[in-house]
Amino acid sequence: MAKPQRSITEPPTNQVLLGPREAFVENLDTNWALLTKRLPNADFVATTVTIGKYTQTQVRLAYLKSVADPQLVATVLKRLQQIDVDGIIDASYISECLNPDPLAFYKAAASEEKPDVVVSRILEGRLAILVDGSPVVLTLPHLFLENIQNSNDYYGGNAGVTLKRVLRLLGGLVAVFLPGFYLALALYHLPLLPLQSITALQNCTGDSLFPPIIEMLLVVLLFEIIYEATLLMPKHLGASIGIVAVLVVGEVASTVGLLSAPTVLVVAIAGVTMYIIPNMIAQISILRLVFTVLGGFLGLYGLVAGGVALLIYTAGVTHYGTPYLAPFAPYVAADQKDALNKVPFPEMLTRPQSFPNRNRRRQKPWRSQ
Amino acid sequence: MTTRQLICCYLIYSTSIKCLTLPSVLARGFNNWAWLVALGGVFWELLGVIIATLILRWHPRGLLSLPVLLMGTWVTLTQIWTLAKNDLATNCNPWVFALTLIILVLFFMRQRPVAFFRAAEVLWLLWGLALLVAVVPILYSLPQANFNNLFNGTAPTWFPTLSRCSLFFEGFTFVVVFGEQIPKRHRLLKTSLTAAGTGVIFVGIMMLGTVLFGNLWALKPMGLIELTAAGAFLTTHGSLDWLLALALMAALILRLGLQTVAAYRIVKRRLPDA
Repeated sequence: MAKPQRSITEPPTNQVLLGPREAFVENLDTNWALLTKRLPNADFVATTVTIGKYTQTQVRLAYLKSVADPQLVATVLKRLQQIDVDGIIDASYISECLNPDPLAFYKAAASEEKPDVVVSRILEGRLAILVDGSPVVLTLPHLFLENIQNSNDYYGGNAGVTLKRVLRLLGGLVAVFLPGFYLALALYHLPLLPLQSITALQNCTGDSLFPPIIEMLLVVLLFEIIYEATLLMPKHLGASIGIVAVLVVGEVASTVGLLSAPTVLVVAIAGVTMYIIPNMIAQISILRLVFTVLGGFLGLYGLVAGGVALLIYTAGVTHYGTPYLAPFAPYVAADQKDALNKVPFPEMLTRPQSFPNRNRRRQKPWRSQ
Repeated sequence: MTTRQLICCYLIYSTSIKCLTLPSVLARGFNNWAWLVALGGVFWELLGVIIATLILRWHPRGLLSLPVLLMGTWVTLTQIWTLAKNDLATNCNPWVFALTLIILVLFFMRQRPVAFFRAAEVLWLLWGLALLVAVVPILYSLPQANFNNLFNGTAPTWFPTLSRCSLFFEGFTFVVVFGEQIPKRHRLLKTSLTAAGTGVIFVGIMMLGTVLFGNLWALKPMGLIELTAAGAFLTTHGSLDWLLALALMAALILRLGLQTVAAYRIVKRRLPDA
């Protein structure tokens, strides 16, 4: 009997202005067909493993035989074969099982919804893991850099790509640090601000009901609650009720003096910028709370101490022999061609060297062809 | 990590951090002898590097390095305290401050040394920016250079400060943690030359600062912090000295982490490895 499945649609996230719009569905064979359509090559191979005592879920490890590192393939395959659980419902279960550290803060594998993105990753020498019943395909090794790259960077020409990537990175930093930075300035380092700003700030915050740190934590938590509620509401109601909640709560609370206007503004900016890196929303939410507390209790010292500690932790993360912060730390000069900066595609002559792969050379120099 | 990468990383890290202290040295009454103080600091760093490299050759090297590392950790802790309390004006409870440092130290103990080095690679941007803030005004004022500044005046307090110079611990810690990665052949020469190279660049910049701002010590501190109190040039363009303070704080916390992890590994009777 044929398995029921929905038809191929556009992905709910990571939409592109130009470029392919197909997304994976919950059927393994369809997802496999979406990949083989783009990689009709004998080199593109896969090994299927059945995982789950009761669910008997088909999990397929796919890669380019002449490009992917055989040792990496063997390691991941062994890890997949070692998974002994009741059932696999979604690819995220596999993603957690693949993480060497169960309490790790960062994911060991990237989750992709679009076949074109997965194919480009496979061409770089990465491995793809397809899970039956999941509309998401995992790719690994996963780098932090992938979070600030976007399909639109590759389909809309090179103009402005560097700017967009820098903005995404800055947006992520703003989302994490802004509430804490504001508290640090307001509570400890007011002289850093110009005189007019100090007066304006004190005029706004003078009548606030709560101490600044409590106020900030309340607004941050309120924002998280509205976000969760919007996600769980019926689709058609979610957006409109979310807007109403934010506008009404923010406006009324600042008018009656429950909350100060700068606090609402700061959290609103931090809340919006969080979505510029959609794959790291959970991490950003947690870090924002932590840095709000640090900024509120310890000022800039706390922010710097926490920031350096976070950086050291992130720099030490290694998944399957690949440093998470590569090609920035360790600095890999050859991979800067598609890091914050992006060179035109014909200039990308070699595959990434931040993670192991068999065949470094990607293509011949364009001008000699 | 290759030897070349290690050396490059240390060269940039060390030079940037030293240059951030330039206005501070000029402001703290060193007067026109600031460049001599810098030279002394480099001497201490060289000494630290040489001693650590020699210690690597002996067997109970962990036992020999541990007291120095612990002393270095203490110096770093006091520097962080001074910077946070006086320069950044963080008016927090000392117990809260101590608690955060204990949490930091416990956290650092669980990390790998190579993570500190990679973090330093990312922080280059911050240090580079701060270095730019510190050095550009010097270059801007080049036409006003007065070379007599190098030799005039007195140097009333430079020696005691020199003796407290933490550059010794800077170089020492680096070699204790990463020295094993440098091939044994000519290791002493390589580490010494690296330390000397950073010293030459630092003293050069310091001399340049002295000929331009040799008598700035007499100025009343104008910025947020004493660190750049002599940097009257900064306050004319809006106070950016907090950026310097943040960069210096990041470097100090990084050094604290490196010293902690090295000491912890020695205590665990394991040689530091990266």
